[in-house]
Amino acid sequence: MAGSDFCWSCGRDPESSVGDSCRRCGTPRALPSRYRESLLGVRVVLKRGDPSGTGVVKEEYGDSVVVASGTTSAVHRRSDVRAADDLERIRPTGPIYRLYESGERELAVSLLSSLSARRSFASDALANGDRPAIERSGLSHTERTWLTMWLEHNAGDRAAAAVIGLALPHDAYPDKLPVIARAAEWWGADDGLRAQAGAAAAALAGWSGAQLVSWLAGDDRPAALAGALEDVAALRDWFMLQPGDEDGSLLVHGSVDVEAVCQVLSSQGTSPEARTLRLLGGDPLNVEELGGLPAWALEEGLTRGLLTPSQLAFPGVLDELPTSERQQLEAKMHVVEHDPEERHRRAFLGLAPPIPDDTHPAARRFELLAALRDGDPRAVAELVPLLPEHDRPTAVAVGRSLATGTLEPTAARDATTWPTLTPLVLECSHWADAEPEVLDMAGWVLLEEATRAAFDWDFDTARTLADRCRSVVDDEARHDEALSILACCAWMCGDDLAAEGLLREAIEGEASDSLLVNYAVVSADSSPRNSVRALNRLMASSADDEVRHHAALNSAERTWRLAMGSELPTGEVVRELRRAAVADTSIDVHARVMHMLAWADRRWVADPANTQRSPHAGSPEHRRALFSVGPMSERISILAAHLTAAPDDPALLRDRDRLVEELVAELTSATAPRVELAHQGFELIGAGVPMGPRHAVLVPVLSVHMALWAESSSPRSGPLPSEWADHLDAGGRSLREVQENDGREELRRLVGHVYGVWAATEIPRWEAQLAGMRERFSGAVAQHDYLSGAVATAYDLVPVREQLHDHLGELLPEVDGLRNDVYRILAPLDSEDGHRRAAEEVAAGADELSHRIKVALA
Amino acid sequence: MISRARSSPYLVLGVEFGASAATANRAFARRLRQLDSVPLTQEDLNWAQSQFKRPDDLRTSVEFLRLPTGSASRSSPKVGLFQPGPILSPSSASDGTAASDDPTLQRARAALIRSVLTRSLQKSTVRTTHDPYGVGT
Repeated sequence: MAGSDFCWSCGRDPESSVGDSCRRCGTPRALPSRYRESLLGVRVVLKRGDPSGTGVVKEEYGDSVVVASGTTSAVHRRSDVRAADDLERIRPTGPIYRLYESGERELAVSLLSSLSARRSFASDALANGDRPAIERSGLSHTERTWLTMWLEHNAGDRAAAAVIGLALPHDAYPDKLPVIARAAEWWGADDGLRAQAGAAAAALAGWSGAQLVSWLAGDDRPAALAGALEDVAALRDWFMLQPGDEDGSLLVHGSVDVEAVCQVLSSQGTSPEARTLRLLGGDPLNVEELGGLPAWALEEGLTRGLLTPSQLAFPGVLDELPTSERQQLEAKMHVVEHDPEERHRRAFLGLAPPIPDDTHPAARRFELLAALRDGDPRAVAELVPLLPEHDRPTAVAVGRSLATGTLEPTAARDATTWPTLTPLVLECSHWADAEPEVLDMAGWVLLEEATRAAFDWDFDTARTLADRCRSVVDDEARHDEALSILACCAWMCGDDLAAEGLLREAIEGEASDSLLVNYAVVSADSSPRNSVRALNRLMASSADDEVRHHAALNSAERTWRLAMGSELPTGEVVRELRRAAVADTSIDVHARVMHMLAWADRRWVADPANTQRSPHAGSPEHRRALFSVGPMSERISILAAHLTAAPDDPALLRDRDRLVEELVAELTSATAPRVELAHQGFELIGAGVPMGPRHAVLVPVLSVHMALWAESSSPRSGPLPSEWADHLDAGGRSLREVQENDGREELRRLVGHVYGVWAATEIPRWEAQLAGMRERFSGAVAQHDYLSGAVATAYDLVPVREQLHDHLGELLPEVDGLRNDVYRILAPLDSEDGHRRAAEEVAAGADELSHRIKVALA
Repeated sequence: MISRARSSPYLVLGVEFGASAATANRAFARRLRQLDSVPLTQEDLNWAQSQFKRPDDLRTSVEFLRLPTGSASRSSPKVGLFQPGPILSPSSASDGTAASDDPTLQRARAALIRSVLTRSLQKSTVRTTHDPYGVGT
């Protein structure tokens, strides 16, 4: 069960909330992270270097952590530090509070960057009796009041807790209600208090029991869930109990959450009911756990073979039962243990060990039955008189079938005989005249055997049997199952097209989740678009949330691979990915979902409030995804800060390369001046982010180029910024670092392009400075053979361009004159005349030519 | 070794889709003895078994072939000539119903919910377990 699915304070669905605060009640609503691998806020010791080195982790970044020690910070590999105390990892704010205590207040406060950290810090301060400290935690007055209420409550001062709780806003912090309710009980139901609390409880009137449980529990620990159930019951008892609801029916009405509560309680709880549930679910219980179970549960366990009489006879197991129930159960234990019929039946079914050398009639009957079950028809003659009346025809039919090799409908009608008759089904090849009962059995047998053969990797046999099944059965479900086995065999043998065709037939009409999955798998390579369609259909039809998440994720990933990111997934897929991003998935799935969303739904991911209720919101993977979609300026400053501390961190370097490539791509692909890109380039250089040689050339050159381009069309005046020249000079100096494998050809092309544009750029007010800049850069370029061609080509183009410009300039008046002549000819012509139509075409052509020339000149 | 992209942990171990980790472990041991008769290596088996370490992820994964697909009901009834019922009181659990529909199990579940609610409605005044916000010490 997920944690609270609602606003932390008022219970509103957080989908409608924005940012860090709930839109309805305005209170912060961040949930504490459940991510246990995070070292944030944890006091760590260094495993290498100075063995006495300790500090507190204040940032995490991939494989690196920033460890604060006193007033200094240093970056270490995650593997080079370890938590000073494993227990501290459970509550990361403990060290922060202790830091606060120890005088490192500035550091402690700087670590309280998130709301959950502030809340935890304040809780810790309160728990340590330091009330003044929470005043500096950054929490609101109401928030501090609420924390104080819980402190008083947990300290046992119910009166104080209730008084504080009543001071909280009526329509927020509904968890105050159980606190008040408990206090009211303790006080003896003061009417005034009831009225006040009742008014406050009105906010919960429309909530279902499941919502209340989910919200009150906070997490899925059995103790928390049990506590939440108690709270809900108490609330209902005091404020909302409706007539006839005493049995908790509100909670049970089709509530998925309550179902989850029961599952948790039954799997981990220790109550008799939970143990009963485990026992009847087939979970073995030890003798101690059997004590206190109801008689009906023990009897059921005995009947099903889940318990043995000797287990129940153990001292303590039956002690708490009423005498009459105990005697009844002991009688049944006696039957199970000593009744020959029951003992032989259990031995026959494998529920008990065989009983050797018994002369009881039941022994012989079960011996003969076992022989018949094993396929020996000779047992029938002696067996039939010993059987109950209703079993005799079946036994006779089975015997006759085995003896003659023909399948009798009477035998097939009893499905427990099907395994015995399996060899006959496999031998039979003619089904035209078979009765429906026999065909039903044949379908089951052939599917079973085909599946078994596939599991044994005998795909030829599996294919033969599934094919036979397909020809025998008449119902769609078995037909589809047979097709699926055939497709599996074909696919495993490398025949992808056949597999896809078979499954395409199977998924026509109704299709189970698994059929759609199989189709998506086998068509992934041969027909990826069909694979995506199948996944989308699965996403739309599956009743399982997690299956839908996986389907959406795989659909998005395949769509990405199909067109290398140029084609986006459908809106439904993106919406499902959004749901998956905040669902309680594994961290691997979460990271993949965030990665896909960062591509397909960048704007949504960029708002951290949209994903903050994810259980992985504090994980490095999550933060990396947010980083990748954040504003470029912010990313640059974060990267610069981390790279300064850890210039060799491979993860940081990968992120840097990704960021710089992204910027270079935008700078080179811009079709109009975008001055903000130039500024981002300057920010990158100014922040001191270390770059590789190629980027060290490209970023300043392309940024200056973009800035000049933007400036050429800007009407404003002012001097040429001197740092542009500095950046360009630095880019020129970096040229010498560029090696053969650093992409020299691309560099040559880009430098040539930039030169070509510069040659045509005219900014009269800066002409002299620009000439100086270009000259210095030309000097730098000229020192490198691999670039000389590029510059020469660019400058060679300039006279060509000028000639072309002159020529077009001369051509334009001629074209305009021609057009005017044509219009003069057109005027007197009749509208139906063929000459007029020809002249109109010439005029249109002249217009087009004139337009193109003007564009070229511009 | 087979290509993992083309494999399924269910097929590699020879267990049905939805099998538990315990079943997979048993199948692993069985398959290990059969390595001569199937085109698999121990590395394949290790990989397949490792997929069962996160059974929820595996159950909901859409990246592996599933066999069987559950399109057709494959369970046969549990009472008949070769599955004689107990001579004790007739058991509702022995009629072949699926576990989730088992009335006895449902009865136990209802009892579980009822007892938790009943206990809380007895107006106990001490609550010791519920501290959802970690305020307590």
